[in-house]
Amino acid sequence: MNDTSHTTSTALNALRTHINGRLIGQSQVVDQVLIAMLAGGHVLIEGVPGLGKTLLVQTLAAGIGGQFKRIQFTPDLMPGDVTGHVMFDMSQSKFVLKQGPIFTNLLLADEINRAPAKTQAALLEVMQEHQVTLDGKSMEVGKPFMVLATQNPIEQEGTYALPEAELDRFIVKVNIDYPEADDEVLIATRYALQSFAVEPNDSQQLLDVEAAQQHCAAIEVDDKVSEYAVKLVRSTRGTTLLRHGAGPRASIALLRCARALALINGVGFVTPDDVKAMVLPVMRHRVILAPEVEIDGLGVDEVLRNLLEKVDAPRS
Amino acid sequence: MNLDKLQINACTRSGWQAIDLGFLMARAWWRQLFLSSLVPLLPLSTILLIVFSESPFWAVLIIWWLKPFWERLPLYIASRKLFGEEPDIWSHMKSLPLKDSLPWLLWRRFSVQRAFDNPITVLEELIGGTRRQRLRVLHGRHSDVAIANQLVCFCCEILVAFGLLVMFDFFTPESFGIEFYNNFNDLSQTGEWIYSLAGILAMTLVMPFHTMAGFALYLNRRIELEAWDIEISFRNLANRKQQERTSMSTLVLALTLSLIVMLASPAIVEAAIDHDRESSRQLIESVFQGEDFGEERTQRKWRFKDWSEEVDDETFPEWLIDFFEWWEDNVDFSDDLSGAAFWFKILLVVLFAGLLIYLLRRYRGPLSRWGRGKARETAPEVLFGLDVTPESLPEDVPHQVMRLWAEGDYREALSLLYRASLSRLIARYELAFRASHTELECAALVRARGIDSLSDYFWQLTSIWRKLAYGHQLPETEAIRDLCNDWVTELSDEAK
Repeated sequence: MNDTSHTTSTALNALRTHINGRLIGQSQVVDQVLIAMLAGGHVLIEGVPGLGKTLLVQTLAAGIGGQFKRIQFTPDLMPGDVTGHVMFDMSQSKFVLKQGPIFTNLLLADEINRAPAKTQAALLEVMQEHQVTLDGKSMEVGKPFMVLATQNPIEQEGTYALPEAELDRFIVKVNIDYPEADDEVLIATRYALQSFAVEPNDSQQLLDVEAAQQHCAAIEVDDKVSEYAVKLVRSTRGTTLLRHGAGPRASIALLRCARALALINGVGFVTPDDVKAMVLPVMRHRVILAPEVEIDGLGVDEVLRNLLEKVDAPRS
Repeated sequence: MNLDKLQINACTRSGWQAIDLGFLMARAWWRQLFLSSLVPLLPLSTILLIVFSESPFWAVLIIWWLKPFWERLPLYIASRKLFGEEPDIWSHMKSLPLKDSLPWLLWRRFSVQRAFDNPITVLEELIGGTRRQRLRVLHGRHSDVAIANQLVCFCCEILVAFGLLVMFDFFTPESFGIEFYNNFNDLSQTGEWIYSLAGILAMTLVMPFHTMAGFALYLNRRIELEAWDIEISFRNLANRKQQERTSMSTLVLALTLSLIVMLASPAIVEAAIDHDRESSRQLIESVFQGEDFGEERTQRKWRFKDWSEEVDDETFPEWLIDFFEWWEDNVDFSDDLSGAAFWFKILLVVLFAGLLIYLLRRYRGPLSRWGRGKARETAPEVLFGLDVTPESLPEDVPHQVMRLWAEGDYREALSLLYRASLSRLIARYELAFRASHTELECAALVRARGIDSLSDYFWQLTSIWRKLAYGHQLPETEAIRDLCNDWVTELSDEAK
């Protein structure tokens, strides 16, 4: 690992420590969000409300010196409310473009599954291409750009399940759970007296994301490790436990995330451990359980863990 | 019946596991199941309650009596859902088989395995002797669980009904003056209505679970008898093989068959098929008529256990007679009761010791395993594509490693050291490495063994190995020498 990569790794750890200092007891979630950011992907976060998702994105945005916007998805939200629209300005007697909240660096799409498919689809282009087409013109969104969408696993009434094509656009799906008892005591005592709002001294930029992404792409991946990642993804296809396995996009995502994890760990190369560690977040939203497995009460994570046990790890 | 579309995992389960599955099915398909029980029940209940508005208990009794009827539609719907269909309740209600209804409402009404037997009437539509024969086969297993299902669900119905009554009681203002817990004879008419509604509601709530549990038992029995799980495995295997076949082999096969068909005249082909058909029919008939086919025989007889020696029950054993003679001569109860108490204590100690010996003897298997922990699996010979048998290692591993290193075969040298370490860890410390374990998982297993120096050594080796294998970073020669020296201390034969 060269000096610049080492500097990036140090900066990443500083950012990680900073976020963990504000979002207490969710270090794993913070790591996975940072990994997704370094890999240039988007994150789908599933968890009940009130676990600090907004705080996470706010703190992250401040830490990378970027802009943050939030959209609360509702059944009557229109695509134009997300991307923006062209309107006639009476004073200037001409059409003017009004940019939507998507023109930002970090976008928190809260409860994304409450909006109908049409509005969800408005995110597809921007998530893949990092650009929005408005009035026939393509416009680039901010750099870096990342969507953090949230879903509530409990209230399913009146929701629209995300289509497979959109799910595949999220590089990882992070399950956020309640913090441990000790952490919860710390949260309760600290935030009973203090507001959640980002403090002025929080706005210091700790990481240059674009440079970090370039370093991430330069992390070395041995052929055996690539083969291992592909084998893991392919193991989801021939099994009767899953109705639908993960596609090639999962292999790409797995290697990109493994690279990011290696960078966070301060290592200049990817190991099978990095790949294995990222299997659940990368694949849990890309596979569909077989109905009989679902009826038997098994979850996606259990099935994926089971499959992991059947793939030989490389050694040379 | 298309087993490919089966929505449950076709595997043999115990009766209780089948009941669990039935409850899971009821939860998964609750909307259709409750709807299908409510669609016929709701209008009839309304009519009956209106007709018997003066004494609604009669309405409840009739509804309860007609329960085998209410259970048919949910069962029918579940049988369709089981194969991935989306059944239409209205159309199925019209086509629901009603035959064999009378026995179900008369003597079979009190059957304690109703949910288990119902599928034979509703789904297989068997009656009379065929039904009896089928039942005999079906009842070969799970009858006890089916009875338990009926009893438990009946108790649940009562509990739910009383729970509802208590809820009504809590939410009814006292000013209404309804006495909920009077004798049935003293109940007011409002009380009777509330009891009746609670009863109907409880029946409706429990019915899908009861029916599905019985259905799952029935399915489990069929999976056992007809080997659905094996059939599905074969089908999956066949599908996989089908996909693997190349288009070339299909082409060759097609060409060969076409050639045969073209070369052979139609008459020859026809004659060959006829001959084949005829010989097959004769063979089948001969099998049917054979002695071994179709014979059913149940034999029951009493037999003695295999006693190793005959015991004469009519005479007391010599040692017992001796004991009582000694007892008579030495024990005197005339003084006071303290002597008796002493002997009673002795008796208790002997009994306790006997019990202890019996228990130790009875559970000697599990106890011996408990001390040793989990039985060790057979040590693997090849792990991660590396031969990890002790025989595959050179006599002097460190020397060989340093020789390879000096020759510039760095990867081979470190690979040998890593392989030798794994081999020793498996052979000496019985570590259960699996092929799916990564380097850090293996290192974590070594750390869990609790030997610090060994764990530190293996972490160091793993770290250097990972750098070379995946990071292509060459370690210093000094580091390899240190590893070889430490290998002698930690893992060589001398280090035992």
